[in-house]
Amino acid sequence: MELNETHAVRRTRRSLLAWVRGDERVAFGLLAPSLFILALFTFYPMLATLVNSFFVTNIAGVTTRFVGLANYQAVFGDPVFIQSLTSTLVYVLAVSSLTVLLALTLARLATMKLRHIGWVRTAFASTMGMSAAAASILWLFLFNPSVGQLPQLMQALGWANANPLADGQGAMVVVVLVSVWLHLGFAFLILLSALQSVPQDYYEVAEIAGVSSLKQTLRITVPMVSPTLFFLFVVEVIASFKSFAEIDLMTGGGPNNVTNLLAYKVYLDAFGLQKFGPASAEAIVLTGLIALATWVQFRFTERKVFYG
Amino acid sequence: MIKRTIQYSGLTLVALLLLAPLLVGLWASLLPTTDIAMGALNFHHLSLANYAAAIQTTPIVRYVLSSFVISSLITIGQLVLCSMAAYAFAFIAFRFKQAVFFTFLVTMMLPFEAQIIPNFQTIKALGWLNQYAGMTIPFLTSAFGVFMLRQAFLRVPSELIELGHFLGLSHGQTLAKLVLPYSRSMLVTFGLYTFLANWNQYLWPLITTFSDQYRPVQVGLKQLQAEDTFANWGVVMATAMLALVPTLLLLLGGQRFFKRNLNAGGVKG
Repeated sequence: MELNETHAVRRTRRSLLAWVRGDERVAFGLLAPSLFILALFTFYPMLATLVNSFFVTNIAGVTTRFVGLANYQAVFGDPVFIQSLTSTLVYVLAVSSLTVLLALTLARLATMKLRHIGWVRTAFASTMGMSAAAASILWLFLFNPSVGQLPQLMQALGWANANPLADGQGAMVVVVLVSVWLHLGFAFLILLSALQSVPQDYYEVAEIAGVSSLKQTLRITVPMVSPTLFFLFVVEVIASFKSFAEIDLMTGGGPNNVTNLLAYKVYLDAFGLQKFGPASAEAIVLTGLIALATWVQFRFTERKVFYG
Repeated sequence: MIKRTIQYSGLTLVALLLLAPLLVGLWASLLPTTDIAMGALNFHHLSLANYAAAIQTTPIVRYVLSSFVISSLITIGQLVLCSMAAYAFAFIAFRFKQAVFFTFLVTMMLPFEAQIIPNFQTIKALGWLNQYAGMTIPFLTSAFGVFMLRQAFLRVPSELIELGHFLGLSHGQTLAKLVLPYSRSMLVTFGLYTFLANWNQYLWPLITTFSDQYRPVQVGLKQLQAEDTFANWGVVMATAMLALVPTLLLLLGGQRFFKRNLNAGGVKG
């Protein structure tokens, strides 16, 4: 009897183990293709970039000599890199905060109780369907000094400089404007769905009490959707660090490197100047900044935003 | 009544302001370049001539087709591979699960923009430069997709999975017959999002394509802009419109999916 029980227990345990092992094989099979691609095209290149950042490389990109932190020292001693880093931070903060602010305004407008509001929502969301490349072409036309509509308008309004892309600050303003416009559609959709979860009675009570719409936004909407606002801000920070096509097509990083943002500088230094060592060091700095923002997103927004 | 009118006019004005760059571009694409050069944006000479010229004299159609091929292959690949991985994370107990899941999460922190140098060398070594393979295979899965679909799969009622177990369904059958149909809405959202994101890819094709045969439309636009020494704005705008039509239609059809589902999974931009 006792013997039998042990046998039975053993048999169960063995079959359980076999089942788990069989399952593990299935799990591995399901994960293997994704793991393989991520290993080859994400982990390996990230590691290789880190290694390259400590080496001097030849023109073909092959590492030749270990130089320790020399690439980092060179990069941080380079005024163009410092300029790029400063411009990137200005650009990222400007784009993220303006996008969230304007998207909140649009979402408030699009939750007014009106018929046919669907068309307005589609219009507000439209830029989500646009690529940075096509958008840049559209805006280049608008800002073109000889045929564009905006320089004419700006001159009519008494602007002295009607070719903003030709001077540093102007180019930065244009690039921020185009990026905000591009990001608005996505940000609007996210906030629209958040705003629709705010109970309508709150607004109705406020309406009866005669509270202005601006105060309603500040005292009801913002507190109610603050987790989404924060989440969106971080998402926008990460996306803005990666902006590339707008820069490549509209300014090429100029004038005087004012719009030479970090992601663009990595590309220029690597594929334009073949300076693979310093470009790798810059790529690691970019990774650090984006990883930090992503960590903030995981750490502080996950739980709160998931009720959505 | 008056209040309504003011509200509607205000909303229309804001909508028009947002759409202005697109509308001006569309308008210009219908005008002869000579009119545009004079700043005469009137409607005396409206025609589709720029579109005919764009299709006949530029490789824009070829670019758009390449983008279709690339984006479709990536979307199908991600739907399949991300679903598989997400199923393993959601429903199967295996050793080191947490560690493997953490590995996937970590890749979301690592920007592709910082990996382009070694990736370029890898693709070159594989002989995939200027090939569809080089533009699709690195993107056939994404940690973001795995994460988003896992979240969706976890919302599948456990009774349904147990039922599958009782009926003797294998994991593959459970995934195909129970989990995927149940998560349809999220799969559509993810599919549309993936297509959109990859249709708009720019940096990678910029460094890995060299000929009009394989160039997708976003870098095709750059190519046309660079070649266009005569500043033929009418044709340039027509090509930009042709590049925008597919994704604008996709957004029009997919807007409700995006609104409903992008918030739920904690999404990146």
